[in-house]
Amino acid sequence: MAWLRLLNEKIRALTRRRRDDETLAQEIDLHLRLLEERFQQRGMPADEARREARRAFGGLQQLKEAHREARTARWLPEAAQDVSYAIRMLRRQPGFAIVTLLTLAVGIGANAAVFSVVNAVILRPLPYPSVDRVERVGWDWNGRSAATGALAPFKFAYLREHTRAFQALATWQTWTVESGAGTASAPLRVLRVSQDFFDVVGASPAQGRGFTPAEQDSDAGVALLTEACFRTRFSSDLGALGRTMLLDDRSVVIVGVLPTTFEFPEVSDNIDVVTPLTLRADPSDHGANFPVMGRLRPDVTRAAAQADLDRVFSELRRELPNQFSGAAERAVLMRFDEIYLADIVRPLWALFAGVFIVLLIACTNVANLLLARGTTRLREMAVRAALGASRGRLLRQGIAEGLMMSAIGGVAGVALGTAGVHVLLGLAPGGIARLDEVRIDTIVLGFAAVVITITGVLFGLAATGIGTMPRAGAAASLATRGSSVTRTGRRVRQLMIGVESALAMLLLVGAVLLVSGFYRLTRTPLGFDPHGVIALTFPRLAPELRTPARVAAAERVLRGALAAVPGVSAAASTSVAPLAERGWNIPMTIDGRPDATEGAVEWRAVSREYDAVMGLRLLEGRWLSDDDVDAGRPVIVVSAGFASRYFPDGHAVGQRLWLGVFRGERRPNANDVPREIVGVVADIRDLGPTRPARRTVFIPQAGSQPGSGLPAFVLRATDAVSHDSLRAAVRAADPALPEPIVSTMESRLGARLARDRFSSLLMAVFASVALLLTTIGVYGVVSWIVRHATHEIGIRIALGAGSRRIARDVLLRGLVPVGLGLALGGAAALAASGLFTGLVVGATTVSARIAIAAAAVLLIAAATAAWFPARRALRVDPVAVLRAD
Amino acid sequence: MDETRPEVLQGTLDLMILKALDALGPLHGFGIARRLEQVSGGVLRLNEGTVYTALVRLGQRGWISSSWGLSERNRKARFYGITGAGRRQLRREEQGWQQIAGIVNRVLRLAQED
Repeated sequence: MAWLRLLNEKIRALTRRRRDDETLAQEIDLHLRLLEERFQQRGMPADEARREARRAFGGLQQLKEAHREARTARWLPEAAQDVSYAIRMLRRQPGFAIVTLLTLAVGIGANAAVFSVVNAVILRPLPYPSVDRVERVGWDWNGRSAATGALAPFKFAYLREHTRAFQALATWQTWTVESGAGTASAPLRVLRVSQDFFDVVGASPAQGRGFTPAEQDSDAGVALLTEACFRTRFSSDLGALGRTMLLDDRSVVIVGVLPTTFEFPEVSDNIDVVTPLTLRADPSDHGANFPVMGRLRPDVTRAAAQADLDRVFSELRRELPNQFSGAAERAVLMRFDEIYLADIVRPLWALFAGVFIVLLIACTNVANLLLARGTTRLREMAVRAALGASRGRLLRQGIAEGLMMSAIGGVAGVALGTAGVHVLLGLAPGGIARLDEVRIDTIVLGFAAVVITITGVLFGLAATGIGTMPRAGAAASLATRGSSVTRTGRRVRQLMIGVESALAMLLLVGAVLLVSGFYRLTRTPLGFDPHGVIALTFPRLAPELRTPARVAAAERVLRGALAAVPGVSAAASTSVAPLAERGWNIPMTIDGRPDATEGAVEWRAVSREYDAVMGLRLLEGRWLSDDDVDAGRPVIVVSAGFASRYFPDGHAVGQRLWLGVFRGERRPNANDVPREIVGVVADIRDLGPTRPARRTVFIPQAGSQPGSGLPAFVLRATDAVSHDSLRAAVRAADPALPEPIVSTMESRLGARLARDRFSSLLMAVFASVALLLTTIGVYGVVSWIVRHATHEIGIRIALGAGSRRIARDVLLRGLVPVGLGLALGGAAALAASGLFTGLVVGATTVSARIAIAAAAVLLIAAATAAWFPARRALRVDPVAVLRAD
Repeated sequence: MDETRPEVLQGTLDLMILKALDALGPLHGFGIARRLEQVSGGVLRLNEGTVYTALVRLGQRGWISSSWGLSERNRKARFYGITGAGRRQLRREEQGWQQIAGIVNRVLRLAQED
């Protein structure tokens, strides 16, 4: 690091130049006086001694200069000179400068924006101490489809008891509650955590205390506040400790406050309150599965931890063999991104790659512009070389100019990127983990700085014309035209548009693929008619309204009131609003066929009007009737997928099945009698077109709502029906109910397609920009070729060459590299085909047809761009050319 | 007489200054010039001012350090002393120098014998 020290010294010397000069003056003064005294001692007269001292010491002025130069770095003032020269060059050509800087600013800004998202969501480490020891445990059901990031409570409890690899294991659950009197009335987000949770995440209360083991076991009424909740709801008043607060109908004592640093990205909500969670570890409880996170003991590797999981669960399998269905079923270690970012990591990287390709193309264009200027500036360079500037100095000058350019463009770009992040977040689909952490921070700025530096240096090389730099004394030779400089320059430019075309091709193929996939997705038959359907969903009911009788009464009244709203032709209730994020499922066994059983069929409790509102297509039998509901008849309607799975020969109607029974075991929610299949309807995708149609059953049980809330309502209505009139109808029918959320099926469909629209839209934008930039690049290069071939063209015209032939030659010089680039880009796209699929659910692999379509678009754009300058070639006047010689 | 006084080679001045500081401990610029004069027996032709340029170079590399002190007769002067890094550098240079001197001597002897 010796050079670093030297550099530091020299830079410091710049700032203390004055003091150093004075110090030297003092030293010289002393030295001279001592010399003088010495000469006088030898018997010299005073004036002769002074002269002799001066002579022995040497030239004072030279010394001061030499001293100063040794102190400071010579290249520093030169660098300042380079920069000021660069600024002057930019100001001399404002048009050029603006085009270049804008291109760069957009390129760097878009990259900074997308990178900030990649950084926050993927790259930034999770906020746990010794984060490499924090692992999640999931369950792999069959070794084929992706594992789920949750365990049944009894498996969690067994693991916690028998593990040797984990020093702590915890689970959690989130819940929304109304807060009672004494606090603000907005609902609170509660995180309920099992024992050892804080050991796993490595956090402890900043004020007060945590939960005692007894409190944890008995789920006693205690709570911890997060810092944000403590601040906003209790004004950071420490008197809150020990006070009670109401969570729904339960009062809890506030025992502590968590530190500001407490973050828990595993749940996407902002947590207000943390309370203990006690799990019932009963294998017969088939309620919800729970996410599991653990902290490994030090020195336990991931492989060892997985081996430990395998050991623990093979023991459990021996103890409770009937709790395991297949041999492939096992617990697996899972990473954060596997659970929470499974469908976002790849699209994000793909978008980042896309935006980076746009930057590369933009840079190629900028380099092209600089190169064009570099050649016109050859004469200036040659003159400066002749005047004694070294090649190194000229190169440095060019790099200074390039860096100037990319720095200005980059700063503007980062400003643009900061705004761009907001646009990006506005477009982004909801529910992406950690998206709220996106910001332009030092890492993003560092990324921008690296991009700026690299592009700047490359531009500098381009500006000085890379290989075309003149040697000293070459100035004279530049007077002659058609030199080899032009030929090399042309090769370099052709290479550039070739590369541009290849990159643009890659993006365009990707965009065509995603957009066509997205189009296909929007055209996916849903099995119902979403047009003119409005959904009403209700927030959680207040505790006193949550009785089955009360809910059933409200359902009946609302259904009637909504159907009576002018413009509404039918109203139905359903346990799951169509196009919701998730449905409800239930185990099922066909009556008399114990093997025909499955753990989760989609289950919809609907009112009789449901099929009319939704426009379901009845394939067999009949739909549910009012009699079924009134008489409580045990009937059921199944989807076509269900019927063909269990009754492949047809004849599903008339068969019976048991709900809530799986492998001969009755779940708490099992029916007492089997239900008779009375009808079969066409498959529906009521969870959105991105999910496959699930096997679904409909039962006539309006108002029986899991999760003790109100069912959702669907209405068939004309456009004239205002959402306000629907809300008013609800208020009038039952004033005690909360205000419903009203949404059209179109908007709900939009929400389900948000992620795929986001990917395809951005890719389309990137590809369009790439196409535009490439077109500009081709135009620039062909123009340049024509300009520098004027002489040659003039002579050929004079010799009688046809204009058609000349135009063709000029066009080919531009289009051949483009064609080669397209072939290369197409091949790359085919090879990387797998990268694109999965970004949009409907996207298929790259087909030759898509590649050819993309290539055709690019080729037409390039040919158009090349045509204008080529026409100019035809107008070359041979007489003028020859006279100029 | 002047013609027979050899010029100081670039780089050797630095070496000689390091050697002087190594041998005598901290010196001011004038003291260094005297020491150089003394060891060369007055044969070396040197603008004494160049000592200061050399001192800046050596200081920047961390081979010497300086501090203000009082000289004989209580005059304020800047004293230069060799650092650990300077000593190591001196050993390296001495070795290198002796090798080269040896080679040059041999070459010159061979040339004489021809």
